[in-house]
Amino acid sequence: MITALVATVLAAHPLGNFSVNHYDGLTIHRDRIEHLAIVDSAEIPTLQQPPTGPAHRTCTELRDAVRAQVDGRPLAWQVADASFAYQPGAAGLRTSRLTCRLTAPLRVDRRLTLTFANAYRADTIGWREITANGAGVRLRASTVPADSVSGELRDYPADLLSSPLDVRRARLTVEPGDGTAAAPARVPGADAVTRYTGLLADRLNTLIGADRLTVPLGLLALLLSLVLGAVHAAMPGHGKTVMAAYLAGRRGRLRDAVTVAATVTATHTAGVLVLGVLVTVASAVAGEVVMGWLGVASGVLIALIGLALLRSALRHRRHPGHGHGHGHGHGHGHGHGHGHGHRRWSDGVVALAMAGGLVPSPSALVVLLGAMALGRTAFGVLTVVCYGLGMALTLLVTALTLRRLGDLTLAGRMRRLRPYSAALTATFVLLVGTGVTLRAVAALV
Amino acid sequence: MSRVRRLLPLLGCVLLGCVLLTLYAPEGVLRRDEPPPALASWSPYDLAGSIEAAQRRLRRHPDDAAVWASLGHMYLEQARRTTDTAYYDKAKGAFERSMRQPTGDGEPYIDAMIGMGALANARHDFAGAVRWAERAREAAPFRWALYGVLTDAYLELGRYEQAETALRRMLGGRPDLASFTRAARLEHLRGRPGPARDLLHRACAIPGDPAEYAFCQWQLGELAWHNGDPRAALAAYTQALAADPGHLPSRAGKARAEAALGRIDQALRDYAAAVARSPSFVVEYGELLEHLGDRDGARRQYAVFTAQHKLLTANGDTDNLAVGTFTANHGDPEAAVRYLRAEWKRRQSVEVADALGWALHRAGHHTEAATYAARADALGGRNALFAYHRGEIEHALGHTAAARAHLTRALSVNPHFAPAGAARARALLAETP
Amino acid sequence: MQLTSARGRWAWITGTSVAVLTATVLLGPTMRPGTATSHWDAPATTLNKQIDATDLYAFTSPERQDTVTIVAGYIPFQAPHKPYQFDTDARYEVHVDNTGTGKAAVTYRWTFANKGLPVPSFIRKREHKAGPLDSLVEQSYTLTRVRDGKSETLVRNGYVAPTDMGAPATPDYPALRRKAVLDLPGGGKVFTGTAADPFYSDNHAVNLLRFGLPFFPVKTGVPTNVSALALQLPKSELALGGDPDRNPVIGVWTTASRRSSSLLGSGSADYKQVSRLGNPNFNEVIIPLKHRDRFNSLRPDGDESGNLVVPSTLDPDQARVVARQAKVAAPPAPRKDLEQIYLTGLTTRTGGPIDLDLNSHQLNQDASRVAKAEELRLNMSTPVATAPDKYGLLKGDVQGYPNGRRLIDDVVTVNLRMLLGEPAGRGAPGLIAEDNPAFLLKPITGSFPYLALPITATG
Repeated sequence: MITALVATVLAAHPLGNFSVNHYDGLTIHRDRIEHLAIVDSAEIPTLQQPPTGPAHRTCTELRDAVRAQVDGRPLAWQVADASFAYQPGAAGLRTSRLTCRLTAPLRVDRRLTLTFANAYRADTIGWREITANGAGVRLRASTVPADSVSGELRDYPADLLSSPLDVRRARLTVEPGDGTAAAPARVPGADAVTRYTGLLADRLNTLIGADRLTVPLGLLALLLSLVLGAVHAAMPGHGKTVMAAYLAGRRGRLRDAVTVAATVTATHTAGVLVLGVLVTVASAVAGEVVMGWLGVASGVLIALIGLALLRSALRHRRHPGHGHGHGHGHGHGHGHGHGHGHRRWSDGVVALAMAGGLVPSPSALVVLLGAMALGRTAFGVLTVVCYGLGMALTLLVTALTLRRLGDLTLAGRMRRLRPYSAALTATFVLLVGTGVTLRAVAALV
Repeated sequence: MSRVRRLLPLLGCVLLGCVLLTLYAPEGVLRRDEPPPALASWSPYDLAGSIEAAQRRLRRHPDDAAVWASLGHMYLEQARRTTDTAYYDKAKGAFERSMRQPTGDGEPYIDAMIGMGALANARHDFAGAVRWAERAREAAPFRWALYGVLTDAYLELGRYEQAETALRRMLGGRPDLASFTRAARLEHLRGRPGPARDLLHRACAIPGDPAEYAFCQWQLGELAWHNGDPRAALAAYTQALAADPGHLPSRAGKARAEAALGRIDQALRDYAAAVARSPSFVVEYGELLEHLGDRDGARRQYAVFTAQHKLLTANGDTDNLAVGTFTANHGDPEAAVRYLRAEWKRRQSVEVADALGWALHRAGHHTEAATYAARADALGGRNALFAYHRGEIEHALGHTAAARAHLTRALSVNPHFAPAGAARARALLAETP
Repeated sequence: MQLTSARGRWAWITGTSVAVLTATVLLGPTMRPGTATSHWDAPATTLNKQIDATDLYAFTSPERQDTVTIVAGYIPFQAPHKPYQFDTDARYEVHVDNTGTGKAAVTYRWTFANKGLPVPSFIRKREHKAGPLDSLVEQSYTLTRVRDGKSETLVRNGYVAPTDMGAPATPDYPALRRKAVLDLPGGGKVFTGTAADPFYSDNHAVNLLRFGLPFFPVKTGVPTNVSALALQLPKSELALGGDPDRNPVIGVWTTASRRSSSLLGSGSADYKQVSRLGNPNFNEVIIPLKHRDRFNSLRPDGDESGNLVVPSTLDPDQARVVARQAKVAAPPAPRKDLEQIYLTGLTTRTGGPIDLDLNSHQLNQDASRVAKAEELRLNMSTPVATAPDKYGLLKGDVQGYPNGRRLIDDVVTVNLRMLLGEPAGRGAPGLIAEDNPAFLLKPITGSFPYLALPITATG
């Protein structure tokens, strides 16, 4: 009798005594979405992780782990109800059941695409089930069923030919049952620029990842990357590059400005390509330890180069009238010195441009890696080049505009910076090298 | 002033560098949410997919003995990977269904028999495993897999000569990962780390899927650990985890090696990750916590062990060796002796001999303890824990010289064999002249 | 372990399961809570892919008819873009018997070495690293010919064609393929490396033949790559006495052997044969499951005296299983026709039920004593068919299987029909519809090694 009882309780957990089983039931109404989350913990996790506070707090944690988006915008969930209860389990132990009811406002006034994933305690083993229902709205193309096969984690099917469910995400389209028009919902969260460039990047990624790459689609992707690059160059962090372009332009030579723009494109493209190659090669070929030492080696190498650059730059500044830096000090007075000064100056500007382009933008890198993974390496490279071109375009336009405006103060400040530009670049290289070394060492130890 | 001014750009650079590193370094702010590039690759040996395909097929053709048997094996593998005993019943059901199907010669399907043997081993019914494997051997002496079952069972039963015979048969018939790793195990038990390492290196060159590779690397790690090289062990465990991030024994091994190398924080993190997935390592974890002075944390882990033991007992899978060892150290030694005497009746492996000797010592029966401890050492294995136990027992018997010799040996084989034990061995050596 | 030839659509799971079963039950006492010592917890699936012979082809080269092409396929089911390696501790061999005794007169032996320098992979992430088998290492090989007890190195440091991984890792792939085709002394050629798996079959036939179960009828290839060992050799090099006119019949099989290890300081560390393949499907259809591992370790010269190959051929269990499933009648045992097909070759001189002089060693004028041995027999003097038929001999195309095996032969269907009695009797010719729709992958090419370039993600 007792054994029979134990057996039935044991059968209740298809994944055994240390599973944490999840059920997420979504019900979509016309004005909101309701989420019933049940976490059924077997004996061992119940013992290992007793509740640290009231059920409401646990449900708040769960809410924070929910990733749900409607047309790319996150939903704002609130905990409506929470409860926690122990239940008798096998061998005189207890199991536990956490029930959370979450709700989020949602106006279903047009066709919306909903994606849902619950990352709460995602690394534990267990049954994972998601269902979705509509109340007063129509669901289409749902990747999850409407009904729970486990009766909301109460009765797990246990025949020999079934595996525990492991559904971790859902995607569906929802439409109003009767078409009423209203204003689109306001999006909380990030500022507009970030949001839209993020959307743009997403779009680009999906374009490149599309099953079949047609010519219009490819062109669209390239155009998008151009726009993205332009936006990227205008974003904070590229100030000095803009300055470089401006300075170059201010010398009165459009050619210099073009040089800077070209340098940015080239270095950015090269940077992304090198990084992409490094990331894939390193992670694919070498073991973790080997990689760590490689990291240290390359870091030290970069740092050394930086150090050497810095040394030579400082030497120039310390002995302005001597050594190969001669002529600089007299540059303003003598005609022949002018050429020297100009050469050095534009070198510095190019160096600044290089530094600006050197930092590969993550979105370009992602696009490249994605394209490579899909076997469209050439296209990925093309996209990255376009991205760089976009950056260059912005720089040129800004430089020319600034030149028109003739901002003297800015020019004055930049002139003061001028002697440092070589040192600046060198220090930057040194820093990157040191950082890389430190990171690699930290990973090794 | 001018100096400050000169330093300004430098400072700016420092700041910029720091910001860039935080943003763009792997796991940095900007890359944290980066999706990994989608991969177009797939594996025909994907376990979950294979299980699903087998289930689909059996729903249409429920009388296919071969597919039932392979489904059973895949459930066993699933049990191994998730360390979840619930799959054992499913595996058993599948094997039984397979054996019920008629075959050409009236014998049950051979792979199902071998599977029943493997299942018996997994459930610690080693005698049962020998019976199944012997039955399979009569029917198909050239089905090499059965010798794996046989070798494992004999090794656990302490019948080392028979294990060696079975293993020789296997090596002669089919040199592969299965036979090489088992041969390495026997070499290790016999105290020959060099050949064991060579065999494991050869095994590591064979795997066809990440889980197998992780298994080989883990074995290399265990070998390095037992021979006192936590650095090499850590490297091997890390390799194993790179191939199969879900390989829990490697996670726990990594934690153990990190603790030995003094990286306590990392060790605790890895242990916590391991016990969250499976309670198999809670005692180890608890002992480290206790050694570090966290008695409450240790007690919580021990409670999980006790609960797990209760559940196993309720399920019919008792593990007297584990319970006896635990009870000898953290409970009533007399009870531990009872558990382990019962186990000794079932099997006379060196592990049981050592555990029983230790429990007897803890319960104050030092003379009897010494005979079991000597038996544990009789195979010639280089096992620091066994040597330490022997040293303690000899010390309790007042045999100072012998105690010194065993304790010194323990520390020379593996100076980190157990957090508390190693410290205690050092203390004993320091206080006895 | 033989995932041999008959690989249908759902063969994935059989692949795994067969591997699980034979290779090992590497399962020991798992789940020992708390005791870290002697935790023996090994994977249940050990896949011996590297030494798994999948297919063997032997045919007169259509455009160089004084030569014979032999292709042996190893390491089945290679995913596109993923690199796979040969086992550096194994010998891969192609044997040719021209006397009919079951002994190899000529053996071609490949051994492989890693060249060390890894080439970059742009495909895998670290998590997908499975260890050595699919790590990207360039390999080289040595090809040795063993004849009359003497061995002679034909190729040293040969180039192994990798899989096609796209531009950065393997740029200009066709050039790499050309680089991997080497000339042999004496006028032969060799190719070693990855190629699209040429195998295809009829799903209905596969399922009937292997599992005795019905399945939807479609002819498909496998969308994966295979590691090929291909030879093109002058007929005179293979024929008995160097004279293909007097002695046109050869028997071919391939084996893989892996070096074993001593245990506790004793025992031999010799090479053990772990894979053997001659006629397609023979091991998995004719040999009972219980003995399949054993067959892999046997040599053809022991087939006649051994108590396995001959009795299994004369009375195959599978014939009854298939006949029951297909609701047709299989000929009664002893199956002298199958013995002719698989063990002796076809000749009228032994008085067998198949009355045809085609590919028995007895047709070699200098052959003295001919033994029963399972080999893929090829009569090198059979003229190349102008319109080859995928059902070979069954449709009167005597150049096709079982007279050797061409890349286009539908061997699974042919084996199934022969198991049910053709061509000696009426059999069940209509069982597999001959006009089943075909989903074939890459077509074979017109020159050596005839295999298509490896499959990539884009096709």
